[in-house]
Amino acid sequence: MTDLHEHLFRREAGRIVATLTRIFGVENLALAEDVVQDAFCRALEVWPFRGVPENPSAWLMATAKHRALDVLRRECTARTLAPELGRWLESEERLSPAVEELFRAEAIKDDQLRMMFSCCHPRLPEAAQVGLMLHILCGFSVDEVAAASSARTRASRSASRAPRRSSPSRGGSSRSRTPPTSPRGFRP
Amino acid sequence: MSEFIYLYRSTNEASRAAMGSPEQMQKSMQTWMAWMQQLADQGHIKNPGHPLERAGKLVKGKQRTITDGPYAESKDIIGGYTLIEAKDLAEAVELSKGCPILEGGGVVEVRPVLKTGM
Repeated sequence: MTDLHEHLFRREAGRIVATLTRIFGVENLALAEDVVQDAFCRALEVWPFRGVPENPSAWLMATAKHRALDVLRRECTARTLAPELGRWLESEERLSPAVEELFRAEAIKDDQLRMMFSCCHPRLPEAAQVGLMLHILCGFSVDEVAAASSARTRASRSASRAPRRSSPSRGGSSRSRTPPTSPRGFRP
Repeated sequence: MSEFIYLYRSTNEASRAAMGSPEQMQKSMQTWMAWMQQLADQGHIKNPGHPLERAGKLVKGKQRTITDGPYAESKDIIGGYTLIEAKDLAEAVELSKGCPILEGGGVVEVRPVLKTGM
């Protein structure tokens, strides 16, 4: 039985969400996150009985891919998906190979980079960009990101207060604004 | 030694809530694997059993009425089962207390397998 790699789920969450977002479109980020959650749920149901598979990353990715195909077949008419998907969805023969192609290892790396750019949309404040990347690409929960961010804010506040006299009126600068509490509402 | 079945029951909501962040997920998985491994090391696992799909059909009564899934009538869905060997019911119950499903508000149903021998 293979041992569970440390932070396996955190690492895979980012890779899978990036790939699924390429398929579903960035406006369906919540759908991508749901599919990841489904794949993880499936792992939690199966692995305790069958042991950790030889290649856990590949197992999770393959499970997410199957789930994504299910979603596409079921919801293709109900949602606006990535523009190129419209063409693939016209026929089953084109859909599977197209999705297969997006799940290649090199494609996944490109998707991660693409997602990084999406997170850095100039309309978002810097703290939100960092928060989104930590959440979407690095698999940290919103609570974990918020906790780290407020700890950092506290640290930088006390650091900036230490050398000179405090000016309470400028206590909460725009740099220390809290990260998005719900990246699900994220619209680049 | 006697045989017992553990039936792991939980609601869809409870099992999803127990997932939380990827890191919590990792912890849940580690706890499950550790618990199963410990039972196996102590020779209590007769058969690790199987996870069950959540979807299914109910076939009911003389009319053979077919309905979707067990969910309409039971809130707890059986997510899997394991065949356990233990001295007696008390020991089987004691061993089940380590099951991670309990942390998420789930239930382990411990049922003695009926002896069919004379």
